[in-house]
Amino acid sequence: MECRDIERLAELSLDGEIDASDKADLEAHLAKCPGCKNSVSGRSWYQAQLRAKLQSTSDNIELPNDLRARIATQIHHEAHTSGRVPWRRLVPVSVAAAALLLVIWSPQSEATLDPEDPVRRHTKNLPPEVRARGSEREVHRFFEKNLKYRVAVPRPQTPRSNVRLVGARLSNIANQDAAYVMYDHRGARISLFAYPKPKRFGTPPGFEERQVHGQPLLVGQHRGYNVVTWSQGQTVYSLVSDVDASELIDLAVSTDR
Amino acid sequence: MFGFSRNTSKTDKSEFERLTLEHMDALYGAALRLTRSPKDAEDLVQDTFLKAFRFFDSFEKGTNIKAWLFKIQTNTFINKYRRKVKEREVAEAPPEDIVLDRFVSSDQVRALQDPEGDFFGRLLSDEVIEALDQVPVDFRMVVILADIQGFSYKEIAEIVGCPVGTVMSRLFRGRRILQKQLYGYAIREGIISPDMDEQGQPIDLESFRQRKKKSA
Repeated sequence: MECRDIERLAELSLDGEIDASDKADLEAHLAKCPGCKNSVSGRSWYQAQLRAKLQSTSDNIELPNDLRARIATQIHHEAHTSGRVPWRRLVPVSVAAAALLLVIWSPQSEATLDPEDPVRRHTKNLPPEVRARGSEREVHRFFEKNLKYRVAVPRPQTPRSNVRLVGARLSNIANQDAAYVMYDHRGARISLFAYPKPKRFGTPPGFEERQVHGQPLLVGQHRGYNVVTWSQGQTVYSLVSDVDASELIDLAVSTDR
Repeated sequence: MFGFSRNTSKTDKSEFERLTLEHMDALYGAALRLTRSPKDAEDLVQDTFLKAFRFFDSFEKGTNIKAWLFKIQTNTFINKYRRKVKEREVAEAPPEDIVLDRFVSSDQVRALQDPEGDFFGRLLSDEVIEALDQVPVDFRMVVILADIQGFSYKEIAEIVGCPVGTVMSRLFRGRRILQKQLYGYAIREGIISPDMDEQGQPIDLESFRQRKKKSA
């Protein structure tokens, strides 16, 4: 173990999150390295002081009374109306967002179309293997060369659209080769995945079906990301991003038919 | 408990009140630090409680209700407010504030430890809050959950919806950004004497200038 590993290990130890073997390594190193021992003791002092200070900032924070009353009224209302119309009027959250919570806290669902893989690939933030450089041509060529099926790349069409094609790479969804197209929306990433349609194509729990310009889209959220999914021929498309679902829907309906 | 009228009959509701009441202030405190806006914090807490009530059926009795509530609130924050907060923060922060690895040293900790300066003794809540507010939101979120709310890495990973490794690196980095803020503050206030980092550059140009102005 080297001195530069010590800072992180010491922090794990101070947080009570270090495992036994790392702890043994840490202690062995500190026993023979006065420099590290010294700085770990400084860090330990600092962290304890800071934690106490941070916690004291919330000591006097109380929920304002009028907010407490407002919440009570709304929950009262909710309890008495089985929460259908009034809830949606009172709280401007999408039903999909709310339903997501149900999914998270309930046992694993058996969705035939699982948004987990696309969302996980999106969060990895891998670099493109081919860059668009202003046109879709390179991207199309890349997929033609590397995939057995045809992929339609959505093209942001309205002139005021803020979505820009960045590039593409190959990916893997549900153990199958997938196309991964990357877009940029004012600095935020949008990922599109295209992959062969599974045998059973069902609505993931918490997703709702919407018809946009005659095209059926499944719109929902997974792990806090907006997801819009649709199928076209034998291919499934999934857009994933933290930009608004409405932007994703615009992009979804701009796919070449 | 919440001041509901007495004619409610739903047993779920009193169970919900019983379990969640004691966490209302903590959720509001965290919401304030996350959004840095009292109005957004109020809306966020309100959304959180209504969602929590609506999905109370799905709460597994006997598990950690505080973590469950924080997960709902964090999720709601990420979906509804994070982008807005991020845009605001990017507009405020000079880009060099984000690159800071070389400014974090154990020398800083030693300087803050100086008994004459009595840094933590003189540090006020408002000043800690101000420093914390300068930490970018994704890092601030885990610092709040770990160091103010006392959640474990695993609980934070569940609340934020990311791997434990990500929690660890965000927490490590978030704490160092906060340390840099506090250190800059300590110099500006003349609590500790300014130091040079390994490259021989002033630790924080802005505090260096302000200090110079003060002593002039």
